[in-house]
Amino acid sequence: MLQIFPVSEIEKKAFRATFQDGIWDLYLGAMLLLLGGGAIFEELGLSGIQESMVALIVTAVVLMSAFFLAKRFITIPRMGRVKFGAERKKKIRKTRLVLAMSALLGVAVFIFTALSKGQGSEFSALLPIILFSVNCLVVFSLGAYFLDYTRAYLYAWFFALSMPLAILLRDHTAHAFIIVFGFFGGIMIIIGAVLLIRFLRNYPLPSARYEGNGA
Amino acid sequence: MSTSRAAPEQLHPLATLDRVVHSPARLMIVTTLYTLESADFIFLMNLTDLTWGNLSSHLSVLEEADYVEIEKTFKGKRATTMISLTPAGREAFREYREQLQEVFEQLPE
Repeated sequence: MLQIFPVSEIEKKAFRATFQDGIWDLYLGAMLLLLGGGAIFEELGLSGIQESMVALIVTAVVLMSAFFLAKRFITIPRMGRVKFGAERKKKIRKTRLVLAMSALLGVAVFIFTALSKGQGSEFSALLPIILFSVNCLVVFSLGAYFLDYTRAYLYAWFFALSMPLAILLRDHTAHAFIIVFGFFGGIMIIIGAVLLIRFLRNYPLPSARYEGNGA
Repeated sequence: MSTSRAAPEQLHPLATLDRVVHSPARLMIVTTLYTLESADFIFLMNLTDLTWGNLSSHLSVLEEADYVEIEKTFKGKRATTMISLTPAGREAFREYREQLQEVFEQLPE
């Protein structure tokens, strides 16, 4: 059937426009660096910090706050506000469900790792890493699919490969965690920064005379 | 627009196209809003590439025809103008699309 108005494509384009600011890329890149944070602190010889889960949690909260503040004060004033239709809201709800399940799996892996520390086979030591990688692949791929955020397919592999690769390289090179997490996280941050610069150039702030002018 | 007696029957739907929707700028606005629940002025400007004045005047025409609803809300001290298609606007766009589709589907490849 001839499609004169491909409305679903137009909706997709409108939704993708909300990812043009690069802020998600910057946030995810920083989160990946943070994931390797404990090990990176250790490699940098900052003793004590690696034990401090509080430092990592505080950094995660700061990053999340920075993400929301950036969306509010950088993106929305330039891109505008939008409420998507029922179909898109359903997809967003599905993504949230996947994220919630992933978080639950994360907690389960954490508990499993804590309980099996120092006992069990080599496989049980590797299991949390395998679960972490599979979890990352599934969650990011589903997120990319539901949100039409195609770069997340690439990020799925970055997250999934980072931990096993760093562990593999640990015996062969010094600072394996810095190299691996820095490389993958760095690429994401560079992509985010380029997108953000382009976004700021393409979408300048509407001048003050438009503010609150309405229709 | 009146159709001449010589006009092929297949073209008749074109004669009854909704003029309010048919203008290119308004068609862009209506098509965009059709895919969304609502959007503010800046989002529509970005997506349609219309200037503030243009968008404002076309929205006035659409509002007069009761095709869009323009709602001013306040987020703190900041005013936000959210625009959405009314049920009449959605129906008008659906009808417009069907009419065009009907004509184009009958054209030879």
